[in-house]
Amino acid sequence: MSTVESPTEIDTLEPPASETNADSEGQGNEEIREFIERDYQYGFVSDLDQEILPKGLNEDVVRFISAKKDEPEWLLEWRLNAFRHFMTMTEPHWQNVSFPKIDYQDISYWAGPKKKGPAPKSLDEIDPKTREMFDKLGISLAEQERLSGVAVDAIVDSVSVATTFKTKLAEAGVVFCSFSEAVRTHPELVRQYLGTVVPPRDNFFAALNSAVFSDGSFVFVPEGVRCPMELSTYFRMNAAETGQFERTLIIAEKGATVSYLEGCTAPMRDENQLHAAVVELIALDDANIKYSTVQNWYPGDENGVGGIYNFVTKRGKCAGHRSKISWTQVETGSAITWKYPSVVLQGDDSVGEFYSVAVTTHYQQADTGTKMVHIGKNTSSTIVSKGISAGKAQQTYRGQVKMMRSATGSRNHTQCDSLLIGSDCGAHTFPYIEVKNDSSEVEHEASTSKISDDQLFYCRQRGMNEEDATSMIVNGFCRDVFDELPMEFAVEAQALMRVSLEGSVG
Amino acid sequence: MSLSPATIVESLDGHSSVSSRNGGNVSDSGRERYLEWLGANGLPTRHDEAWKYSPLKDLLARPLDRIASDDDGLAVDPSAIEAALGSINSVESEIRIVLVDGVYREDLSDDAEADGLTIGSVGTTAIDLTETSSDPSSAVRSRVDGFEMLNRGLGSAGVVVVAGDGRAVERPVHVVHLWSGSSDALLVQPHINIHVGVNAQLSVIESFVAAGSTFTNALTTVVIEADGMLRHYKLQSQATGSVHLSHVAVTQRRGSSLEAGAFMFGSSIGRNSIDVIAEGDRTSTDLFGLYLPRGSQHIDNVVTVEHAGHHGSSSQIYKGVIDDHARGSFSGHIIVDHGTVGTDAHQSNKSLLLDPVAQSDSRPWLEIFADDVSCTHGSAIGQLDPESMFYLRSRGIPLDDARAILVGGFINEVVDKVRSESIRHHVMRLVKDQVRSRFTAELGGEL
Repeated sequence: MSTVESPTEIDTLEPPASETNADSEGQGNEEIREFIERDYQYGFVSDLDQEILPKGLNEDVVRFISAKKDEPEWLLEWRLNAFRHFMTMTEPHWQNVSFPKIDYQDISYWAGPKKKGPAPKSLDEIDPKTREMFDKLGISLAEQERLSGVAVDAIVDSVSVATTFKTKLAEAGVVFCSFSEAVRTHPELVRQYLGTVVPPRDNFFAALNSAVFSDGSFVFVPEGVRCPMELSTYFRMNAAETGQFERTLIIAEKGATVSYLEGCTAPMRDENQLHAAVVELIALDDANIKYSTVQNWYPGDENGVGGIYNFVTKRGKCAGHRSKISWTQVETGSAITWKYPSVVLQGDDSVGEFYSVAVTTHYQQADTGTKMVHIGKNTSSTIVSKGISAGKAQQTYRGQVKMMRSATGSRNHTQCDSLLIGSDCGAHTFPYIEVKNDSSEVEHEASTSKISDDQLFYCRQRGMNEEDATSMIVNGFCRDVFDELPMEFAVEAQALMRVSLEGSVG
Repeated sequence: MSLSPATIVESLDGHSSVSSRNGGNVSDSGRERYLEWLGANGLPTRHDEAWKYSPLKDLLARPLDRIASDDDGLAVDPSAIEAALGSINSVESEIRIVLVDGVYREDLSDDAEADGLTIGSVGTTAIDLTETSSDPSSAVRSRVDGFEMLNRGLGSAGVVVVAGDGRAVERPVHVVHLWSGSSDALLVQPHINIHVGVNAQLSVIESFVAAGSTFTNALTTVVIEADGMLRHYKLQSQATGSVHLSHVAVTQRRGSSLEAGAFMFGSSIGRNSIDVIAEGDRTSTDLFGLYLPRGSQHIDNVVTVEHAGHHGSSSQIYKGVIDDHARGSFSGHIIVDHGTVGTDAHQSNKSLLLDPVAQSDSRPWLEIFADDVSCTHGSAIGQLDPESMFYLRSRGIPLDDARAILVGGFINEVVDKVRSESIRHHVMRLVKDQVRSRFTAELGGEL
């Protein structure tokens, strides 16, 4: 996070000298309060020249988006079908979050940076302002390309503006490009797999996304290939009052292995922004997909005004035998997070994993968890969910484990723990466990508590101040999940946690 | 028009007609209120989370001849139910209360005045009910559903059991629910209203032993005053083909304690639900249950504990043994209210699946709005441990016996929760009968 240049950072990261030395109990509370009231550090608006469609949603908008992207007829039809079905659906209300009613006609469904001349062929040709924005976010493309060895497919709002390391990936046969490019270059693959994991009619937001999705990422790893590098995409929302509808499709053929990283920050806004993405993962025989997310969108201010609505459908299908899909997420942002990265374990001996750390503060709300649907024989899944709730935040873990009759000899182990900081927050656990055969074993365990006084006392009496002690305990609480993150993200996740929690609570 | 729970509620638009059909049960204004609620909200649908695992479609469409009225129950000749009465195992030194078709029969019940108990049906006795009926037990809670309101609105007048302040009633009260068998498809809706006074102690056993395919929609409302203690056990062994819905709504005052166990053996569709509001400080709530569905039985357990006071403690232990193509479900819910401190709540659900097509569902839920809590829950679904089986078989124990031994060990944890020795014996006897009929083998453990 040291590369982040934000005017608010200096104010919030350097407490007055008197505070740093104090370690009284009152000081601890003070720090907790300070953390709870911490401002979002990444709120800045880049002044890009935007092309925005007027607000509203109708068939013409769908046609406009499709035409704008030179899409083939079948994809337009696919979008229109989704749109027509969307119009018959009603917004779901079973979730444990509350928000003012969204007017879907009051959203602009297309925004992209205006192209200045032909598409850039190298980083040098990119709009200097765009590059400046990435620098602020700490993902200088040039630096990324030279130093990190991570290919970055950077998205500003809806259009993918730069892709790096393409050559290296192409040598391995890996296709990693923006979704609209994939539609042009690999239409047969897109057509074969699009909507097979999350059908357009799956749910309200999936239908909306299917109708108006703007862009996203596409990954195809051919048979037997181990992707030579970690793939990463930065989603970034920039235009005010613009819903963002990303579509990600990752296909790992037989024996392929890929690790995909997704990280998000977004600028400060007063107006709520809707984000309804769809992510589909498909793993064929012996394939292995690891999908990691660090999400730090604008959570709204300390009064709960503004912030991103993060309503995402993420689902993976272990279609082949012995395949494996692993979700890892660190969620610290968004006013409302509402998503359940799921795995359908269709192939025999397939493996699903879900590791999650969610942090909610101020008035943030999160209803997140996972679904593990066991269909194949001897499938196994692991769920580890850690929730930290502070301030007036409400956090819910909602998870479903389903053992179908055919899923003989399957296993699931679920552990979900919640940590409460402050008496006004809430932590809720809603597991659903359904077993339809007698050879599967399912275990679920969960606990909810505040940081134990005993643990704090133990650390304090060994000379640690309350800040360090709390920090250490929270870090230990999340360890199981952080250990699952790829190296690049582990660093970022810890930095995020430091910003959200450790710097202030402890 | 054929009668079913769904059509009954549909007909509530002009509920005067229901009132006349039901022998004037709808007389007091309280019932009007419940029927209004029912008319407005209807019966549960599959969108109601608490009914997610209940076979609602079957329940709502279940054909009924009529709703049992108070007159029906009172008119039944004792000789007609003699056999049923004789077949009931007594609990040692019990005070028996007999209900026929959901209606209190004073003539068949024991007198309990010497024990400090007041028992009587609502309206016919001199019990001052202003406190018990106007207060929480009859108030409409936030968590009510259509079936509870159906009972309150159209059920029997009910029987009231009051343990006066400071009375430690030693003899257990045994409520026996009997059916006259006058009609197979009768909607029977008993209502037991239990009031445990300040510093009083009481044990209540409810036995449901219907033969025939009745539809029971029972309600038990309980108020435990400060420092009072209630032990409540539900023993359900209704005949195959019957439907059993029973709801227990408890309000706990300061320092009170509750021990409530539910043993669900019989009925084709069974739903055991309990909703405890621990509104006072330092309450103790100990809930447990056992369900042994087999054949095509479907047994559902819905357990809610809300901690509204400080320093409350609660535990839930529910175990299921599910055989054949039966289905057993558990939905546990712990709620810790905002502003409370020191809550200690635990929840556990374990099921054994004994057949490839048996089905088990588990929803151990926590909903916590305060930070000074220690809450845990656990759920495990599995089968008999093959290594334990091998151990027993290798010592020459036949398959059925080995299974019975392991299942017995699994079950005993719940039976042992029954603290009163005489009642535990009574429960153990029922459990042993169940296990014996299943494995044709003796169950280990004390009797």
